[in-house]
Amino acid sequence: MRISSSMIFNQLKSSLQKNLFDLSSANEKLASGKRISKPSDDVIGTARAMDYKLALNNIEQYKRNIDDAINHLEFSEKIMNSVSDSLIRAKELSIQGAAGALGDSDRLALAKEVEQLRDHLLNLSASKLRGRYIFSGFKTDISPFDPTTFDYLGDSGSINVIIDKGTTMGINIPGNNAFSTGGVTYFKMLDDLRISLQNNDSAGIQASVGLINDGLEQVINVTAEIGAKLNRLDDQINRLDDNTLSLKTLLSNVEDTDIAEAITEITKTQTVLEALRASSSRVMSQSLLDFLR
Amino acid sequence: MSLFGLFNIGKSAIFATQRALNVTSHNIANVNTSGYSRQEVILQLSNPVTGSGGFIGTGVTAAGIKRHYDRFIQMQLLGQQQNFGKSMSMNESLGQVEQIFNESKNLGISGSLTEFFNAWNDVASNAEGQAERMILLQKAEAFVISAKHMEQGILNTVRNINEEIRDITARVNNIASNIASLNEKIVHAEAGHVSGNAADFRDQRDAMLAELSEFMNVSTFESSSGSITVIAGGRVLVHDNKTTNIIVSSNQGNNDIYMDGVNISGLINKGRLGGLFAAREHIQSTALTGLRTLVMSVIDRVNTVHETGYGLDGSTGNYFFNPVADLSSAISNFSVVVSDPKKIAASSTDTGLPADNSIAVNIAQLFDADMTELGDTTFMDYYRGIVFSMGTMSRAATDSLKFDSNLLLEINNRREAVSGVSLDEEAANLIRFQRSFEAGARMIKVTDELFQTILNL
Repeated sequence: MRISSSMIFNQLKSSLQKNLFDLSSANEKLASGKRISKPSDDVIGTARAMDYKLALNNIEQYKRNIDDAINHLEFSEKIMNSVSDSLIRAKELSIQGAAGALGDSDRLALAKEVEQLRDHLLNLSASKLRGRYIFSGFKTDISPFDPTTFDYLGDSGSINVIIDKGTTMGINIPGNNAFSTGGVTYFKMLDDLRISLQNNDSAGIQASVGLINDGLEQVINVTAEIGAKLNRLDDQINRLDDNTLSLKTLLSNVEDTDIAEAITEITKTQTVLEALRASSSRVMSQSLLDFLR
Repeated sequence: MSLFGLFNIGKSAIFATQRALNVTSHNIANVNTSGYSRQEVILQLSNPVTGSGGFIGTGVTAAGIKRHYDRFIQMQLLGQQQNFGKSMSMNESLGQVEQIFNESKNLGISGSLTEFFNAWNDVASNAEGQAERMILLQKAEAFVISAKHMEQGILNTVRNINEEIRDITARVNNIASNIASLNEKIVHAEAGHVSGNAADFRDQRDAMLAELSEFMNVSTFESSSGSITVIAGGRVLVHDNKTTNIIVSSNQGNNDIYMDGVNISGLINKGRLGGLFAAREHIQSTALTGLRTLVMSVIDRVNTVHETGYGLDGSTGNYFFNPVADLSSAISNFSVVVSDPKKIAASSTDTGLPADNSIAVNIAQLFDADMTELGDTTFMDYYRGIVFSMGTMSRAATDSLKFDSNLLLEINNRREAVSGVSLDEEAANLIRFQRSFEAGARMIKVTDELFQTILNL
């Protein structure tokens, strides 16, 4: 093949261009830490990376929702434990009151304590988390129970949060569930007990013992339900954390530069480039004209 | 033969080598001229005369100038120019749009779309919260802005394509008239000459044809007079010294090209024009329509659920986004119509206020739902499909550009092997002809001395 002057020049030019391009893209990979700088670098990889990022985002969001739910449930659990303590104390007092050996002044003292327990329970029912009454169902802006009539003012609305794709969980316990059994609120129970104690109504006191016992059972049921939900959320968080770890590994595999490979690539291209430059300077500077003096 | 014959032989040597030196220096001068075909003087014996001892030579003549040129390589080169032009345009335009969807650099819409639905989750977690509602409105606004930004980017690319079509067409018309006038010059110059041709005019015309081929697919044929006819889009662009103008005219907002009143855009499938038409089609049908379809689906779905819900102030029947009239205005009219955070409808009933969050939960769950209007995919799946298509197209364009430019270089090398100037070769010629010029001059001097000898007798 006949070789013309511009052939040599063009060949060198395009080889230099190609190697410079390789060097700069290897450099960019190293500098940015990402092996994909635009979708067409690796279309499948880009689509996968988007998948993983979306899954990671969703997990992050589920975890935030779950954190909220756990806060809410743990707070409710603490309140219910106090409710349980109060009811146990009330039960003790009612049993003491039922024993015939007590005098009037003792019963009045018991009645006084029962009244305090009733008010304490009312306070507990009006607990607020982040400014919301947690035992009012959807009506989180009003206190759940009327302090004089003890009527339930909230509703039975269940606040659901998304804890996984297509899965929601109710995080609140409406007051009519948490603070009453068989249609009788604990406040009403304790108030009746107080009246029976004041009036020395032993039949009434006896009846109260049974009712308070029912109430305690209901509190245990509610607490157990909360516990079960917390367990489920714990499991869910662990599962999501596991997924996060493997998704992050997958994402890094798709997206991140293999540093060793990039450096090798740069060294290789540099060597080629140096050789090319050395040969260019020799090939381009010489022609027959240089030797004709 | 007399002594004067010697003068003539010396003179012929000087004239012929002078001609050869002319051509050599012309070659050297054009070593870097693209499209130049190297020339060579054809030296021929002068007609001998009959002398006493038989035929006697009378020296040399420069019979003509040969243009080193291969028609077949030239045809291949024109064909490859067309492929190369197409790949170049497609790579450029699709590369621009790809950047708009560059999820690798967190451009694109997936971030703002995801955060919009995350914000609905947060509203669901605290339906009474003013802060969560404010953030939702901000995220919705950010989603609107990024959708508009992307549409604007795509429309700008399409506008650039349309402008480039107009510019290229102007240049094509210009080239066509240049070819027509070169046709005339070549026919004129070559008329009556048996050997040789108007080499430089032909090189100029070939360079014009090469540039034209980079712009669009054309076919050419040469008549016996040396004039070429250029056919583009099934119509005669240049014939002899006449041209047909290509007109650019808007066709449904896009610039198309017309000849004799007929739209020939569909027939132009190569060259930069062909690439621009193809890229424009891809961008409009995939990127633009896809993005609009996605946004329209989000608007419709969110509105449909939101409309049934109740805001904290008890208002109901409100759309969240401005409803869409048609696909083409889906993004240009895209806006959030809820401005008061209290009017964000998270509750399914007015009695469930303020904590009922079921509508917010329903909207948040739209993010994971398959949508019939998106071919039973989720918002994000559909969007990823668009990114995938644009990435694949851009990749294919880059790959063909790489292939086509390598092939073009290869064919150019083959053309160069025949037509290119080699400085080494020309330097050798320079010396060769210099020496023969010197020898010819010496001949004349010797002859002169011979005359002196005789005259001094």
